[in-house]
Amino acid sequence: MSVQTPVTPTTERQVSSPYQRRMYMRRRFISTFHMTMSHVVTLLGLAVLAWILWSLFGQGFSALSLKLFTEMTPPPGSDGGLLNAIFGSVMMVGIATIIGIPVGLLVGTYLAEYGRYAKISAVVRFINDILLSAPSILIGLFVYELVVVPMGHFSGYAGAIALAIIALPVVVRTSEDMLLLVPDTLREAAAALGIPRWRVILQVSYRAAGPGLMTGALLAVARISGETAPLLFTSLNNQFWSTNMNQPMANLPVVIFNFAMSPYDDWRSLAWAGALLITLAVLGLTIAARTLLAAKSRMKG
Amino acid sequence: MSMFQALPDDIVAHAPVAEPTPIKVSVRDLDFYYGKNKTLNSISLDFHDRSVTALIGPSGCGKSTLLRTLNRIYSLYPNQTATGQILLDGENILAQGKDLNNLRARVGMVFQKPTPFPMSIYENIAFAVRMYEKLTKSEMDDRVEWGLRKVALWDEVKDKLHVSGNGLSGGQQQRLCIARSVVLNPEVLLLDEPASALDPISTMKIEELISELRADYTIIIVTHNMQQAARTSDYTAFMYLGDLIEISPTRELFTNPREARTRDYITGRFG
Amino acid sequence: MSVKQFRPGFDRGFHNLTFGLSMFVLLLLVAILAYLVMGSIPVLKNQGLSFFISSDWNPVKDLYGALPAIIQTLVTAVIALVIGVPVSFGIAVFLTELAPPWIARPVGVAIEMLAAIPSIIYGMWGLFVFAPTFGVAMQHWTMANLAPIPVIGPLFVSPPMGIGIFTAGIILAIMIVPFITAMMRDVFTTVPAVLKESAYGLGCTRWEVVHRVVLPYCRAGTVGAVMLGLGRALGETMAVTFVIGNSHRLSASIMGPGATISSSIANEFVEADSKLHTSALVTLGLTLFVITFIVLAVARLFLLRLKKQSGH
Repeated sequence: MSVQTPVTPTTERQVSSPYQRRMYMRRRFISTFHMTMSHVVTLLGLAVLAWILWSLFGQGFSALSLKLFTEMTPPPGSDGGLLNAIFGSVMMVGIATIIGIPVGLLVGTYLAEYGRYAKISAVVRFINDILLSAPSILIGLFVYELVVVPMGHFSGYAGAIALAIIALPVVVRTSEDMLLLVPDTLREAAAALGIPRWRVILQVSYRAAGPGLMTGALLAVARISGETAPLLFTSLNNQFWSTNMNQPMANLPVVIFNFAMSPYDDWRSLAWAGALLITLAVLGLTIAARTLLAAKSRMKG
Repeated sequence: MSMFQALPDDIVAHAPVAEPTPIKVSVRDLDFYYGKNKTLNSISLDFHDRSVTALIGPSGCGKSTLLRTLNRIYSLYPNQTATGQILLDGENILAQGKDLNNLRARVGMVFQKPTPFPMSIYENIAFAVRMYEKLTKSEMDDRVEWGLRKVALWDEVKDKLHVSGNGLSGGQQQRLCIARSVVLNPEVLLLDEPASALDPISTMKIEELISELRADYTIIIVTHNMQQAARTSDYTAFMYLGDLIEISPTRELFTNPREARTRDYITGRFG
Repeated sequence: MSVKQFRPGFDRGFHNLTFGLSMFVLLLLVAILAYLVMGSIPVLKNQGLSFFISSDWNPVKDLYGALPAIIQTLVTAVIALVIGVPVSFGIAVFLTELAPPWIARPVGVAIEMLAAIPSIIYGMWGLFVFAPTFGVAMQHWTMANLAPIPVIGPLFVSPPMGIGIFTAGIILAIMIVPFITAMMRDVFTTVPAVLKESAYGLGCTRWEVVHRVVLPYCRAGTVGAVMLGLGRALGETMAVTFVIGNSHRLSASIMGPGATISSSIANEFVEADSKLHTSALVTLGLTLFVITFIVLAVARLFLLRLKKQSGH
């Protein structure tokens, strides 16, 4: 094939006049400025976040000891552990999970299956989204009136109910999303075999959406593990070992809050240790949820 | 047995007669890599000023990749690299530190899918102009009208200039995108299968438009449609598996290809 | 072959169960609202609308004026947005337009992780680490440099304690940045690559592509993300309570101590022994509910529009 030598430029265009060159330099400058700022704020953001993690891990690890898991929260001025608070948190989060997740899953099921096209579903979705981001302290006020006042005292149950109400919308949202990802052809194939709807849902939809539903549940547990505000006036706190859910119950977030606001060094260092424990738990749950979802999407190819 | 032995005479007869014009873009020993994957092998060819060159070949042959090197749009992706030389008026656009914004103003590009920006029809064009020129309101109005007339869209949209470009039909959107490139007064216009997502009538309009724009610009069009290449182009380059097999005046390539592989392709024996 | 008979009752029952629980979600919101309204009646009966315009909050005299808490809730949220939104936007642009994948992925994951960290951690860090160092330095600087300026000077007067309204705003900003960034990034990635390519193809600079193509394309989603961030900042309790200083005084200064609606409730609710005090706190809660409801509803409407837009 023949290749000729290129000719010299014949036309003068775009950036010819000094005015156009200035205008072009200006555009370049504005863009460079913004992109530099974008780098700067990213670095700034990462620096602050590193700072937070650095102090949390630094202060938290130096306060970590076996005592945390063997001793009760101490009176001011002496050392101790967080056993009762850890136990209380696990109990309350556990009960909230047992209540919140099935209810959330069933509501999500309605939205994605039976009521997918019903008008009322749009309303439920909207209200659920509002609940999802409503200030959690208001849930605390509500449960105080609903449970604490009639019972006459603070209790672990009240705390668990408040946490369940917070977990509920998270589970509703994720289960609906995950069920909607199940292809309709699968449902149709099952229905074509004459299987009734409820069994299609339980045996086909739930199974196909399994990892996704699990992810939603884990995210909900992560969310309520660190919630503090709604526990302040539901479960309150308890300095002693108590397994009675019908009584005020110690829990990590409220202990952290009370101890951190105190003037005692022992308490403050326990607060750091508690903060580290909660963070590790929440991050662990979040990572587990992500891994689960990633494994699922890998499976799909 | 293939559908046809060669393209019917009457189609090729309509192909514009290639007149030799100066060389506008000259590609030399161009290699292209997606990560470690080499997708263009030492391509060398020339594009002539004020003429239409069609790039044809089966999918994956590298014709779109070659097009995407000519305005260096591939540079948006860090794992894509090109080596060799691409001379635009004698200046190597693959050189380090080449100013890409100015390059892209000189080398316009239109994509397979219409890409109106999320703004009004008027703004789609005015936005592009404003980057390079400071015009008064009435000058801008004139320019927008000029651009829309150039692509024969003016009569269809003159009453709704300020509605979103997304409301237009696919063919209209594509002509709007061509207008948006043309108002910048580019020297080279790259068209990446500009009609493949359109209906036959819109396709015809785009082809007519290409024939008209040919008078002012160096046009390079990627197409998988051989009749389109035959109808619209002066030169046709046939590519296969990352190699340039041959480039000839269109009439010659379709009637008397030099390479056996070209003949096999245009007679439908593979591809 | 035996045909297994299914009892249709099961399906009805399951359908009704899921439907009933869905109605329970609606009922929950109605119940929360009803409780807040009922709890507000005593103080509103006693003080009328002066509750909302009085700035005197005095539990000893059983007098309650919510104005300082309402204003300072808004001020902290606005500070958080003014700082947090540009930063989130910048990081989202970095992640979607500038960073190569091997950086964007880990940074993106880190951002999501940080969005999951409970707010009490941010509050604690604010109190123990940020306020004594940066907070104090900042207040010294504003006292020396901004407070002497006439007219706007009083905005910046404060004792150099590190804590206060502005510090709370900064901690809120730090808390909502990962949240807003993650949402903005998700929205920005919905822009088709070919749309951006064709803007670059015209010779647009990166900023012009972001400003003129990405942002208009994502307008609804971006506004939705910011509004959700605002909702979070307005209702956040723990990150604020630690560092705001808890003072029910309306002062001109944004650097000095203050109290937001949620921090007032968190601090006083358990100890409130008069009926009116409890009612006043519930009324604050109702006010917060109404404000956040409006903000969240607007956010959801914008996000809904985004969904429709990407649907067709």
